[in-house]
Amino acid sequence: MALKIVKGSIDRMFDKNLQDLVRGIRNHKEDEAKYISTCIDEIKQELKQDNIAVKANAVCKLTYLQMLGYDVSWAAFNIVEVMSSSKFTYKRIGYLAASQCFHEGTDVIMLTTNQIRKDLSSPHQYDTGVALTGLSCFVTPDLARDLANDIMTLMSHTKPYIRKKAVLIMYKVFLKYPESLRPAFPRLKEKLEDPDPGVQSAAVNVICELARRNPKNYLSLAPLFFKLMTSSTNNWVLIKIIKLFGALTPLEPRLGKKLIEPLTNLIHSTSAMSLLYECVNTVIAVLISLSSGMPNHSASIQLCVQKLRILIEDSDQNLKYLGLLAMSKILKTHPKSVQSHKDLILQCLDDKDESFRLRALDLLYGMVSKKNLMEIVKKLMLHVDKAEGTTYRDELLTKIIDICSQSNYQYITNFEWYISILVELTRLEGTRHGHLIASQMLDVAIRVKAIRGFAVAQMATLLDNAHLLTGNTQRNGICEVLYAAAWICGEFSEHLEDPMQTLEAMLRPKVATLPGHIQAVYVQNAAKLFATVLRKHEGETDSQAAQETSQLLIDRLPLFVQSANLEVQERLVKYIQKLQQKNVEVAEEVTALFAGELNPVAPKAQKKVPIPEGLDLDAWINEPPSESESEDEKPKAVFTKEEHKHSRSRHTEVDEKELARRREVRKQEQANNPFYIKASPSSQKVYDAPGVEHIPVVQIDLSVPLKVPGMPTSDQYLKLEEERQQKEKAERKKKEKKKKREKRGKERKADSGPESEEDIRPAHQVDIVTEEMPENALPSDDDDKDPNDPHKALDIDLDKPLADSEKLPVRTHRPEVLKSPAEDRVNESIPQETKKRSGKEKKEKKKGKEKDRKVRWQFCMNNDCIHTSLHLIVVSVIFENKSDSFLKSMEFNVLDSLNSKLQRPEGAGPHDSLTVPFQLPPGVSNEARFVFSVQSIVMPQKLKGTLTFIVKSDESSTHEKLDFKLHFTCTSYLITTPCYSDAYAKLLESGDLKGSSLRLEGISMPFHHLLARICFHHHFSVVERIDSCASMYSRSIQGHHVCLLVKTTVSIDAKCDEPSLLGNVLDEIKQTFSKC
Amino acid sequence: MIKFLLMVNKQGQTRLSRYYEQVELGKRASLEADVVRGCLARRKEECSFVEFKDYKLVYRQYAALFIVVGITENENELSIYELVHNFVEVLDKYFSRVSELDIMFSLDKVHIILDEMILNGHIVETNKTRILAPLLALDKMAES
Repeated sequence: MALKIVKGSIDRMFDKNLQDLVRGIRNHKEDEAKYISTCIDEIKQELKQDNIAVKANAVCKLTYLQMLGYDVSWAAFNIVEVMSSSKFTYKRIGYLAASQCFHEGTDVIMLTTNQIRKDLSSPHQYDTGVALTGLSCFVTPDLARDLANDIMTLMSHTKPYIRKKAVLIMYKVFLKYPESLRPAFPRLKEKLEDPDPGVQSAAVNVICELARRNPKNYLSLAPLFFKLMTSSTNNWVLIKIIKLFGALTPLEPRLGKKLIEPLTNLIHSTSAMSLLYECVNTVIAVLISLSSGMPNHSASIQLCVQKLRILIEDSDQNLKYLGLLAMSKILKTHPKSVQSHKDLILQCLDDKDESFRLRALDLLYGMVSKKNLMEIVKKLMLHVDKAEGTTYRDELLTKIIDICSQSNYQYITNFEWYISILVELTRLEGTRHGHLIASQMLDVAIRVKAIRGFAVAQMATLLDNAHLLTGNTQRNGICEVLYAAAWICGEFSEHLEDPMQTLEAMLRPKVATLPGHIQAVYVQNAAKLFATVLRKHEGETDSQAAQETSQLLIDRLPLFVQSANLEVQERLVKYIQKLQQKNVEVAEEVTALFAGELNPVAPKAQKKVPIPEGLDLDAWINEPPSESESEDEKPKAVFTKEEHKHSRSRHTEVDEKELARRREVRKQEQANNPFYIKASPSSQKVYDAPGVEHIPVVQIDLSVPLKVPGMPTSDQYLKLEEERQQKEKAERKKKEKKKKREKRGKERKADSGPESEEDIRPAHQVDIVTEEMPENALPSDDDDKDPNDPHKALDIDLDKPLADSEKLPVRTHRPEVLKSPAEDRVNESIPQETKKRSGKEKKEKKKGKEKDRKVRWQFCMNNDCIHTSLHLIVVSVIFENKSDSFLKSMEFNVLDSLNSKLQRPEGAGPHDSLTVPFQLPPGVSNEARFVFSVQSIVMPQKLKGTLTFIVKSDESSTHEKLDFKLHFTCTSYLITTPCYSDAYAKLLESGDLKGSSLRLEGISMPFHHLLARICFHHHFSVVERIDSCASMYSRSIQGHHVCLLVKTTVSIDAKCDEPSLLGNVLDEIKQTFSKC
Repeated sequence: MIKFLLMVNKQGQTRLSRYYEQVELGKRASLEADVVRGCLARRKEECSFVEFKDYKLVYRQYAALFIVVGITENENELSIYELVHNFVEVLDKYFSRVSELDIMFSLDKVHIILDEMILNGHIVETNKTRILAPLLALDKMAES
């Protein structure tokens, strides 16, 4: 032995330690992987040695390698070994390694339960500490359940060092084993007032974390926290408490009102920025939860905004970041108070840190008003120009569009300005958002009627300069705008000054390089333009120009034939050619192709069209066709039919009479047309419903000149707008003066600024399409929780009193035991025959009445077992009536011993018997169960008992009594538990077990029968069988390990951590074999 | 709540990692790489808080070594920022002028210090003497 130790320490001298490993890795930069793999081989060798110091060293190195990303899960068992070392220096290495690489799936964790429990209850605080720390990393639901009570006990440990750790670990336990929350909560609450600030802070931490997920369950703690907040001077704790209040106030507005004052006091007094920030944040949360705009809180908001301004202006970037973050929260509810700090936010756009710029952009989005929109956008446009990096520039672009288009262009007063902004944006290089710009152009041109003339002019210029946009293939994102430009020019071609030129621009050969969908729009709109040109010229009876135009079309259109949108183009070309060759006036007809106004349709408008009475959409209109008919012909038919018959010119200046007549005809037509879904008065803007007049088209405010020659820059509008506002202001002032003179005594409005937003009149207005939700739409559930959120399970009412069943399980076995309870026949010592009774003619045999007793182990959930190591045992007794008489009123009683007691119902005395809940007709058997509590399991027990019953025969009934003995063997406390051979070896090596041996004489049965017998009668499992011997393992219900080594010479070497239990088990084994 | 704490050098090599919520080994490597990339790319004048996936990163640079802490939304960034400095001060006190090598050679001891300060993702101790007490006791044990 001594030699071994010496050898071990010599070995160690040659082993690498962690430092050598680190150095080695640094010296092998080129072949690091190879070096590490040799190191791992060495470590594997070291782990095979018996010396725990060598093992610990190896595990320490593994921890380092694991950090570098190497999988060390193969050493899990060795880690457990090192964890189990009695020396703290090694133990902590084991725990560290475990905390780094164990997870819920690590199977050896189940071997650690007892070790951890032992460490938790160690007298050395650092043992306990290291176990707690480790546990926090690898606790599993099983561990949490098994150890919850131990950790809960530690929460009241004498040393604050342990208490604070235990409190924090409890949070992990709650997550893994939610049932523990209610029983542990009272103690956790107690810890909020622990004399040690560390423990207090830990408890606050845990409750904050719990309350964050399920705040409503913690409202009742608010007064306690309020007290803590006003009394505590620990900033770390204060931050947490204030954070907690932030989570609670939305649920209880009264709390919010109460909080404002102490929070503002803190804001004024504290010098700690972190605390200040937290207070501001919570004040914001409180103000959001209170009905916003309460006048008496404007002071608090002002205070917050001021403090945030200080943060943002600070040279410390971190404070600046937080200031912006909080500012954006205020913005949501109190945009006005933030708007006054526009200068500050705009400054942030120049910041070097991109995240600040993005945050500032977000803020600007919420800050714009009619008054400042142009100015802000101008500033942003400047940034677009100098922005580096396309991501940020794209971000800017989308933000500009978002800002302008938000809430239905609410803040845009001049759409010419907006169109020119959009046009300017198209010059942006390499943007991906061409589509976005295009859709904005379309949207504005369609919805703002007054702007169409201007928009068309701009788009025509754009089309003319299309080569600028498409020149670079990398820019093809932006060519999307040509889609919009072409469509706008075609659709609103009556506004074009020189349609011929635009037509020419649209038919340039270069167009063929554009994406297919844009080409299609080009072709379609070229035809529209063609119609306009024709109409214009035919009126003048100048066929020359018309001829030229059609010749241009005929020349250029074949260009498109080769492209993807073949069908549309071909049809178009043929149609026009045909008409043209006849040399008749076709303007009317070509125009008719594109007659009709396109109106903006509300999203979901189609859904809103009510189904007319008597229309069954599911019914067949015609019988289903027997053969496949070309379906796509139908819409075509409708198209030509409708449009041809009612060829209307697009001249809007048709007189009222004509309009009325047409409407009448159309209604008639619609009534007869089965494909037409009738509009009801509620439907909005469905094509052609009650005419287009009801769409509000607002007169243009002509205080701004509409025509700006050439390609305008948006800046012009800014100036114009300023002038306009100035003018209006002056006018208003005049009026005001007048008013003032009239009503001098009248109260003045407490206005935030010299002019309120409403005073700025927009130059144009938008056709507002109100989005309505369909009736059956459900309000979106905004707080849907992730079903996988582990915190969901912790949504537990904590104020309900504890029920007995909720007490934490103590000293329990693994759940497998419950599923397949180990059953055991207890040796019976029951009188085999009852005495013959005198005076009775019949021998009543109740022989073998009680046949079997089954002992079951059960979880101990009982209230009074919590702190003792009591175990409940269920004995099931089979009663069999072997007589010919009817047995009833059976009562079962056992004389309790100190160690084992029959569990009687509440209120019953210690000697009362239990009624057997059934009667027995002759020849029938039934089973009843009785619960015993057992304190010590190391000794076998014999309990004396009696069974009284009434024998009822035809004539008479007699009272009878049967004595019996219940024998609880030690074997019956063992549970068959499988054990791995390595765990087994470790167990034997640990030296905790005491040995004993036994020789069985005169056994002649085969070895495997012998083993089977031990397994069956004594609940062992075979760990390993090697030739002439076999190792076996079993575990008692109290966690004692029992190991046997059985040899073919029929000797048994046994080891167990409880010698008396072992002795008794061996005696019982001996007895089993002496019987055969 | 603190999700993880990393110590990474400028070359992107992990010198210490501690996860307070289980992350698979394979994912750790990519997470660490992402985090390092996110922080190393930042200039000195940029702020120390980075929004990263669903957490926030708070980082501080000490010479060639970065300390990066991943926290949840509800954690106070400034307090974590201070905690990092506190941690470094404790290391400095124990190792007397701590260097990257100290951390590599005594990884287990750094872990002890860290475990005294952060437990289960929460700050548990900030007092330097109390943080170092277990470690000093251990050293005494090793000497004797």
